[in-house]
Amino acid sequence: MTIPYNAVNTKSSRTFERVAEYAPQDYHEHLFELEHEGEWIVQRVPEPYVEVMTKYGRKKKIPLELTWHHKSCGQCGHIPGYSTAIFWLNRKLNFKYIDPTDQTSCTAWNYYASATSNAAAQAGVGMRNFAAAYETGYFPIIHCGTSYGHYKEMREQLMHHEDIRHQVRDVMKKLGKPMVMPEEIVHYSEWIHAVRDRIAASQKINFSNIAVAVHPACHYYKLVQEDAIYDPDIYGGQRTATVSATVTALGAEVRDYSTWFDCCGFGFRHILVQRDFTRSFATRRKIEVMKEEANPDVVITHDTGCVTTLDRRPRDVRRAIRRAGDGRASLSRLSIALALDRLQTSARKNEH
Amino acid sequence: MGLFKDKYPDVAYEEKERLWEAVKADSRFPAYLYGCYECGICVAACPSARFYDFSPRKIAQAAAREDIELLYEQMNDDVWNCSQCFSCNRCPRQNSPGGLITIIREVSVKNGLRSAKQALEGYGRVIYKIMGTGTQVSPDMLQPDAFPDWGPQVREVSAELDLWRRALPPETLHTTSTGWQVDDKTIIELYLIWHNTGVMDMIAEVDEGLHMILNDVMEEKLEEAGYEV
Ligand code: SF4
Ligand code: SF4
Repeated sequence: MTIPYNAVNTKSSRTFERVAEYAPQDYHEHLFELEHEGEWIVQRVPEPYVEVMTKYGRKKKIPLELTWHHKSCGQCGHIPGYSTAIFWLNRKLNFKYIDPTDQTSCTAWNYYASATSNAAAQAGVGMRNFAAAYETGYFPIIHCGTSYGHYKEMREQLMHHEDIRHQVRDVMKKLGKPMVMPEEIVHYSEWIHAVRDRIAASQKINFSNIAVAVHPACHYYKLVQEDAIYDPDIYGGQRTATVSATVTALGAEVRDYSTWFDCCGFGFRHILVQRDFTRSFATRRKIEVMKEEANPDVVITHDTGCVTTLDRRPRDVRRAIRRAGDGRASLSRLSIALALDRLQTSARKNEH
Repeated sequence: MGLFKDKYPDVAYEEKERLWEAVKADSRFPAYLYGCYECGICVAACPSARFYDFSPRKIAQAAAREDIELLYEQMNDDVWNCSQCFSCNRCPRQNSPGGLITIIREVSVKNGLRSAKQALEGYGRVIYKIMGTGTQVSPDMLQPDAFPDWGPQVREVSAELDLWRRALPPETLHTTSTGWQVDDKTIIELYLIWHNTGVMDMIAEVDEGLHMILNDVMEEKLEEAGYEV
């Protein structure tokens, strides 16, 4: 039986309300308590910031500028247009930022792939990076979805487990660095979300005839879920609004498909040493389904791993399109691309 | 005794129990397992369950029942199939089967289990890169022989890698052996973290050769910077 995807794409008249009683407690109280007790410094979000809504209605502050860019292994290693584009957008918007060299990877890709680390070491790496940002006076903004999710998990662990916190504190002492926790942990896509209307205001190309399928990043909204951005106007507040809201603000059409919640098949270890799994999953559960149900012109992925998985396999993509498509479909009809790379290229073309 | 036939009867029950106690001793454990409704919602969301003989439900159930023999089997045969996507966090019981698996994997690495060594075969160079340089994917790792399925641009880019990298607007990305430019001082601090949190011992358990190489690289730099290892 095929999935009745027309039903998925039909807007229901019912409205969805998230039950407030399920909302986890706002972590800020605990965060500031620990600051009060001298356990760490809380680095405040600098002004000006934009307030956005998270899953259970809490307002999250997203800084506009004075940001310290925590770069991503996958992006810088093989999709460098990603970070290049983020910096380019900052300059276009006249925002001050730092592209630091006193930054390491969060090392979470390796941790989720190989488990050759532990909670204290992972938190140590994260807190070293946060201290490095604090020392510059700029506020960390995290380019990678896995770093973002991992740091939020790390924050939970440091807040609730004194043993881990004190182990990390001792290591930081050896490094001569302070214990610093940012007031908010912010992903680059949240910053894009916060400035989407400003980006749209400088838009030079009309996207109204572009259909988009969005793949949200697992580690963005499945880890410490209450901290991801949601908006009642985007999928009735039932899915994260990041990416989809930006695509909508730029005038393109977001098209739905039934396997939106599925991951891309990245698998951390699998993408490097067991790629048959990654390839099978991405093709069968994402690309073919997107093509069959949404038939988009472009797929906008949310993050490093997703674009690596869905893009770096063109022969399979072509085969998948042929299997799922109408014969006229070609790679360019379903070009798996990154929104920012696209936007930057388009804007550059217009500049010249 | 568990509900299933013991697949590893040669390993003493006490050893299996010791490993399970190590999983439970992790301070994250109580927040990852509250029991299990056996509803299978985690399985429905799980990518690995679609393509492997793998089930986060079975792992959560075995853990909730403390089926020591089955847990030992899962520690060896199952946990490395997990994609660590955390789709299973939608569990209505508030479990995190993926988080539980992270801990089980960690215990298996710490104890040098053969299955962990097998799972990490061919992965050592990635560990070397991330622990030694502070960035995981360096542009020069992407060679056509290692990534033949990533399309023709891998060959094109790798042939003129240095030139491509220098053409990038951010100067921090003009690198080929690291993802971005990382300060020496930063690397030293990273090495100190690995040495002071037991990570080097974990590496020694799963790959002695890699441990030796990493140790040499780190010792030299740390000594240069005035630290005693
Ligand atoms: S984290 Fe592992 S067990 Fe959980 S859904 Fe992902 S692959 Fe499945
Ligand atoms: S772990 Fe959670 S989702 Fe999975 S079967 Fe148990 S209760 Fe259901």
